[in-house]
Amino acid sequence: MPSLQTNNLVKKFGGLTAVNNLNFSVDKGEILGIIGPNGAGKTTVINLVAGTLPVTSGEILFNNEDITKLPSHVRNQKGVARTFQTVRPLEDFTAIENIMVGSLFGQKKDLNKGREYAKEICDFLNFENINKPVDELTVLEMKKVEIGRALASDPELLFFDEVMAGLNSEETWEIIELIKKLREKNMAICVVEHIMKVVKELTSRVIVLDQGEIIAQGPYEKVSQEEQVIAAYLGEDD
Amino acid sequence: MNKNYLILILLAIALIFPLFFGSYFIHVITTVFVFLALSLSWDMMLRTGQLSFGTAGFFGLGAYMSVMVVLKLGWNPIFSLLIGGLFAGIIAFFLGFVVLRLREIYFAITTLALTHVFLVIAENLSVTGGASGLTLNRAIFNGNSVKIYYLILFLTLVVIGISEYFKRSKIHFAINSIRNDEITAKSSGINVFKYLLLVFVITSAIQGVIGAAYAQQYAFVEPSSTFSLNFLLLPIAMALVGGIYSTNGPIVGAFILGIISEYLKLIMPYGHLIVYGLIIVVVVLFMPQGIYKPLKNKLSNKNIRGDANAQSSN
Repeated sequence: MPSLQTNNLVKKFGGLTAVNNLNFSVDKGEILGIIGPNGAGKTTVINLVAGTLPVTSGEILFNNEDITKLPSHVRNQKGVARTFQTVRPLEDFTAIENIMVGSLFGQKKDLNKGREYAKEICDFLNFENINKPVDELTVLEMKKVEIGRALASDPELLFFDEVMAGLNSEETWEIIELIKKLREKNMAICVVEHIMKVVKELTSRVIVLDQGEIIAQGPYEKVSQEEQVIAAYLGEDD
Repeated sequence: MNKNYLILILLAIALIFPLFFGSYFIHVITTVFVFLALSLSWDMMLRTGQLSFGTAGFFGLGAYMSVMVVLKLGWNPIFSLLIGGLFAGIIAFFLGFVVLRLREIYFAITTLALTHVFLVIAENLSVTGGASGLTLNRAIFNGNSVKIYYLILFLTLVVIGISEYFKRSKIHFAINSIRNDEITAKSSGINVFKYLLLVFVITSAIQGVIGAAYAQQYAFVEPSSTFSLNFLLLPIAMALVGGIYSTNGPIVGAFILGIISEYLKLIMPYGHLIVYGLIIVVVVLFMPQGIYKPLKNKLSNKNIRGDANAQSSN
């Protein structure tokens, strides 16, 4: 049974169709890559599934339940979590408090249990400066806070929105290993990514979006050879 | 430990204060407590990121309701304080479904407009006494300033308690997250509207109770003085001077501004209003964190240095 299934998902911003009749699914324990050129609608897909934006039409099934109309905090409590492309830390909190927000509200834990759970997440993330204010964190630590807050809500479906952006190669590998460990926990994971070595390393299957539509799907090695995909990335020859 | 002693000492001073001072000073400090409670309630709403200009409005609603149930129904004045708070809270609950969809300056202006709407309604209904308002036969406790002092002190301590509960419970995490980044809050499982409504209702009910107590103390309500912007601007000034997003900030600010304003009233009538303005401008420009926080940091730095000196001398 797929963890996530979308049926004919459409999102229009005025006259612009950002996502057009999108059908895709993610299974538990699977890492799906979502790739495509800038403006293809990748982040919009995350916004629709996480409930940050309302859909224009179509439906979103999570564990076979229709969540299309649910507000985003309820979707998070049910097990849908995301990170943001540009990190969105809560700046008046320390690192651990940022992560606690996920366990306090995503899982409805009390303060003590929420803090304990957040500490476990920090251990898992190999994150030590947990009591620092967020404005003193490094880029990698900031990413870990972003991932940690999403993980603290104990998600079954997790979206990473270009989480590697701004990291050096060593740091990128650290995050790749973390995501692999999450797959072993049977989470359904979607990775939106521009760095192809990450897509190649992590995903078992990718969908390629262009102007809100799927133009190709399958294993990365196969998809990356398709003419349509190359054309979408590089522009067509006239 | 030290902090607990300080709180106990301050509390003891507050409790025995009326034994040593005359009714004028008791009256001054009672007024400081009234504004302190309003200032804290305004700050509690600000912690959600919403700048409310409705403080005077809910203060007035509580005041009117309290005077009306005592005058028309003959209810106990102390019980009427609860009714005043309940009424302000219920009105805030229903208005919340509309105004809490607004943000930033739109929320602020709408709450200010609501205050004026309340005023116009009070001015035009016969049950509220129209433009001349309503007068009670006698003030609460027959105007005994010591008893009134203890009543307002009790209410203020309850408000301080609520503010501290806000800081130490999950509510703190919810409203701080909403203030910092609403989208992050929502996608982390926080029901943003529920928490905004909760805080809006609680703070409005506090303003209602305080308004009721103030009206019972003076035994009258009158539209323009009960819904006066004084009950909005002075609490805001106090929180800004002391330091926002905290319990101690508004307390410190209320005592500083409350006492300065009383002194200024003695030396130049209405001059205190100019000075408020100046103080707000100076504080916002040069001490955006207020007085309390930088002072606390300075003191704790000194302690650390003091400890280090003590250790090195050993």
